[in-house]
Amino acid sequence: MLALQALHKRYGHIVALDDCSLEVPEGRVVGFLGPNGSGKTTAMRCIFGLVYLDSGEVTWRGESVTPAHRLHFGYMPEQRGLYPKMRVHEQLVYFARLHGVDRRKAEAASSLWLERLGLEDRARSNLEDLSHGNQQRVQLAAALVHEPGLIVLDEPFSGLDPVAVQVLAEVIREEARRGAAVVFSSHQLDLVEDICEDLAIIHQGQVVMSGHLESLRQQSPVRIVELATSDVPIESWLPRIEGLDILESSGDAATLRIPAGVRVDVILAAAMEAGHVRYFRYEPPDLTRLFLEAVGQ
Amino acid sequence: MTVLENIRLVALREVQVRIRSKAFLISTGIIMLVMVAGFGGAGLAEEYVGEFETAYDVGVVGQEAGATADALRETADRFGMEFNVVTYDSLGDAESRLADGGIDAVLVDRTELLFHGDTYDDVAVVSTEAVRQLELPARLDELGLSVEDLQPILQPSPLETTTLEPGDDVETASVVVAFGAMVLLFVAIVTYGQWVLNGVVEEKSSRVVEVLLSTIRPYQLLAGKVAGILALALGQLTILLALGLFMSVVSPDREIPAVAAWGVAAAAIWFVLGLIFYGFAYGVAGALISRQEEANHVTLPLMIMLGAGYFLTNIFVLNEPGGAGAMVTSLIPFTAPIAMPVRVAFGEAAPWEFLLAVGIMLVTILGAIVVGGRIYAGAILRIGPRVALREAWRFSR
Repeated sequence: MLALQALHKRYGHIVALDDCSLEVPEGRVVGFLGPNGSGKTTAMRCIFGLVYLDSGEVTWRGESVTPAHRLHFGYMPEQRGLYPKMRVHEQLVYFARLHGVDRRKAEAASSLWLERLGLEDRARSNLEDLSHGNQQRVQLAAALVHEPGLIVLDEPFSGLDPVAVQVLAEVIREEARRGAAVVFSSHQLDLVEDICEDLAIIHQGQVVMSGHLESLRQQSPVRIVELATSDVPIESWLPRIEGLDILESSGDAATLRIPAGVRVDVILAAAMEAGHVRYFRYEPPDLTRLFLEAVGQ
Repeated sequence: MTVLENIRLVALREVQVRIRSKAFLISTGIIMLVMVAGFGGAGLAEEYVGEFETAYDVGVVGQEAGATADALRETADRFGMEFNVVTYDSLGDAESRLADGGIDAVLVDRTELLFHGDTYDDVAVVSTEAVRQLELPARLDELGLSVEDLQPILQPSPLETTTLEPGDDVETASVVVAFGAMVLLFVAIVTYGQWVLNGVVEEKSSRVVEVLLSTIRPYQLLAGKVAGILALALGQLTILLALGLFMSVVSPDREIPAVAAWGVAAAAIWFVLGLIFYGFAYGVAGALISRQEEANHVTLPLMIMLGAGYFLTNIFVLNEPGGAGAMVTSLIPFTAPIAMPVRVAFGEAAPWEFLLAVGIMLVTILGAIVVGGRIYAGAILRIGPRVALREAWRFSR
């Protein structure tokens, strides 16, 4: 398991990480979410020693992370980068060898990954001669070619077409199945919901919510009610009920946020009294709502 | 993975990629061309003329052709040449042989020398002398003299030669080697230093550096890059030296004086030391910028340091290699890589001075690796505007 423990980092007056803690178990995929500038990239860089921490510790399997551990980590930074004027296969071999893989295994693994990503015929091309999408694939292979125990991907889905998104999602799932701990950041919440069971939300340098997605939804202190009544404008009856937080309303439909403990039958009764109820949904918040709740929106 | 293994991998990549690049192949080609054309070309051509154009095929026509042929062979031999002489019964045969290129010249009746196309002065001189020798006894007879009488006159005792002051051959060679070393070291350090800088900026601007630094330490990346480029530079210089050596074998007259040989060895040592130091410095300078266009800003201080080395060497060392100014210039680590080999070429650097300068340089290199490594680490991940030195120093902790 990877653990970030109470990380603190300031750049002058700017607080990048403020008591940031996160856990990524092996064999699991953790989605790492947060608004722009919340500290996702800084937190990920800490894992690789690219940021000098003011305090806190990063551990892997209970040990403080050293360069020796990092040989078994794979990293795809937000700012993609490989050598433009180096051949694709040689490049992958080079990255594998930097991670301590011997030459023969490095060459075999590089060929395997190129084949897996459909790039075997471009092995001898210079990277810069590949299309943008194919360069992204090589970048992914470079992060995975040494069969890492921990995989950290910073915004891996940005700029990918839907086909490439499916390929990457499948690769991420397979790597977790192989036993790797995987953490990736993303803005695309639907993708996160689709790929991972666990997530962590960072806000202003602090992980404000983390855990299993389904339990986070159940544990949320709020519930969402969506309802519609035929022929009767919402405005005419709903505002009369006290203690409701109306998120959205138009015509005869509305979306409400209520505390999880509140009895919902009061609302339902009022709706039935006002008119014919077309639909009535009572649910824990979805990921988008959870995210917005967590970052205080 | 050890530190050295990482440095080795980085250096190998540097060699692997650059050795295939057009820029490298072209620059190596140009160096070789310049070597052949400038240093060896003239000498080589001279030697070829001297060595291979000393054999001629000569035809002889007329009375006592056999005796004439013997005289020609003998005379040519005395002149260090080789005449392959053939006698012909008729002038017509000889002329047609001459016309088709089978022979170079025909001596007719000991009075006329025929050529076809090119005329050869060597052949004319040898033939004239041979004819003179053949006809000498008869002419002397007419004057009532014998060959024996004339021998002392024809073969005067050789003059005794003494020089009042030894020639300045060795000194001239030293100055040539010294000046050559100065220019070469300056150009080489600037060129290969620029390679290091370009490589660092390429890694930074292509952002590959973040992937690299997730596995290896910044100083390992920088050290590997400098080591790789040093290896390539030494490869190019070895080609250069090998070519030079080949030239001197082909033209044995051009012996390398002993002082010059030491000068070459010293230049090689200081080239390695200078490139390590300046290579690191150029690498650190490259880490401060994100675009090649900004290179001039950050290399200016290095150019000033190297320029100072060049000009102080010019002022002090070339004028008075044994003087105090020359000695100081050859001890200061920034200027030593250029100044010291020049002093060695003059034979003016005492062994202890040489060793002291090497010692000072090694300590400076260590310092450069520690200080430069930290600045590099602090700046290399900061993409964007040029990073100030102080900022880079602070940022790395």
